[in-house]
Amino acid sequence: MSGTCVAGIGMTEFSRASGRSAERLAVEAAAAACADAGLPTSAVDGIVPFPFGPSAEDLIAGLGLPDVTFTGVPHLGGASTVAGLRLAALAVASGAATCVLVFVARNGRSGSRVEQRIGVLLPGQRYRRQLEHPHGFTTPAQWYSMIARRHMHEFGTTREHLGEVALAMRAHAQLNPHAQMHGRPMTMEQYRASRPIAEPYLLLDCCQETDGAGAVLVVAADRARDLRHRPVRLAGLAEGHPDSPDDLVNRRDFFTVGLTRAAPRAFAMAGVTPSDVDAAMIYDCFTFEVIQQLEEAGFCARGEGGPFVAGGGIALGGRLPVNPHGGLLSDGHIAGMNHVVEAVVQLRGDGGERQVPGAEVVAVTGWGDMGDGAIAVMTR
Amino acid sequence: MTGRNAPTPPLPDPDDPVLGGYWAAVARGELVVQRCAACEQVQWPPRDSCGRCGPAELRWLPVAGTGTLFTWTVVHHTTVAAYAGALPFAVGVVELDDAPARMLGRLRGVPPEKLEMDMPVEVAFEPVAPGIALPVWQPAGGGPR
Repeated sequence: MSGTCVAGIGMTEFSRASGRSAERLAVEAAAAACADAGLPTSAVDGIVPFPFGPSAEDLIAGLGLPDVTFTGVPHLGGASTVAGLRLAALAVASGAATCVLVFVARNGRSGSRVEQRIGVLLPGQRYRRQLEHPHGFTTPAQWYSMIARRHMHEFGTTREHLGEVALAMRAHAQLNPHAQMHGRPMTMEQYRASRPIAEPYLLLDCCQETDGAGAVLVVAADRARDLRHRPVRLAGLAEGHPDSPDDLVNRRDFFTVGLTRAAPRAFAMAGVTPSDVDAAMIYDCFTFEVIQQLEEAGFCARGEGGPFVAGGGIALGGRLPVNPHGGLLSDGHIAGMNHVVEAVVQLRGDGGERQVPGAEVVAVTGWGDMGDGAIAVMTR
Repeated sequence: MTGRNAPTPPLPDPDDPVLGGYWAAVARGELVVQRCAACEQVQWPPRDSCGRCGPAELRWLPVAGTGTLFTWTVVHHTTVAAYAGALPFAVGVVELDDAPARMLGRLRGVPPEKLEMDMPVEVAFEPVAPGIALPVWQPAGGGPR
């Protein structure tokens, strides 16, 4: 798999109402990724869709693809984007396909909002419907706020630590004209004053809901060398699953998630350690999940994520810049495909005002469902 | 559905092949967990197989209905119409005293801001429909400590 690269990236604009179908958004992002790579759309012979949204069939028809030889759909909730990147790399490395399109497209604000999506996608539907919904426990903000509260108790993580994550993402979005929160800076006072949703989560602990699409093309390294941009290597890729992956609260070790298991595999495969990483794209569905994933991926010890993000630790110029594009919190939520795209932008050196100087190793995490995880280590 | 009556929360299925025995126990005011007849391992939530033995016989084991509050969330925004009038309310995870299980339920009898980590709690049962009750949790001894 280390012989595979991302050769093209494509995105639509982000908005609250795209005014067109998710299928149309997918085709636009896919065509943009092909144009970025300098390949005709007919070169695509593999497709990895996100588990919710347009299908491989939609893309075959929408792009008029002549002969698709590989499709596959990962099922790791929000981690499906990074797990799908791995699926694409496996397909290329095995020879099952030569140019695989991985995409996410959704009208996540004007169409299917998060509650509708999770009602279809989540594992353990029996437990969701019978052991959780009757008690009024129905949303991701509620599930994950429970982990945040226990973490605060056990390790001294504070409201200000959560706020630091929100502020860093919002500050980064001011450097990214594509971000939904571009032009809308935020202070700690505004963060603290936002209305509670599922305490400890306030409104500004929660990510955007977004209409938009993103896509990348995965090809073999020798082919990537002949294309338009400097190739970005997929050096390490892994997925992992927690104990009781269908139930968040009954794993004995409450904080061990899929990423805990996946991260060492991905770093070993890439031949690097977390301290070699120049920038991290962390799946920031909520503020605390950044703190937890920084710990579980090995960027700091468990319990030290709060101090790690404090004092601008994950802002540009800090010890580990996280999500220079603004993340799900302030760029937009297309299930982290924007994180994959931003990793490529940074490794090409095309970040402009938000470029991490000399970025050579970038890690991208995915978090999904009841703690599924995936990670990609990408290099120049 | 006419929508004229007061909304009820989403109800469990008393005939569910995996959870039916649990809901029957709750309806008669009893709390149970699941135990494997072969290896005696307790598991929660109940499953169609034993996580250790695979397709084994599974039985219900009564528990005391006491525990400590492991964590909780205070819900200010709900997607459940039946709870819209009850905002804000707390949903907690209770670590049982006498079985390796954490159960989820609404917390009552104490305002959300008075909840404390690891506080002792006990179960109570609220009827919600004919033959169906929901377990809820309240401070042990019937009041806050």
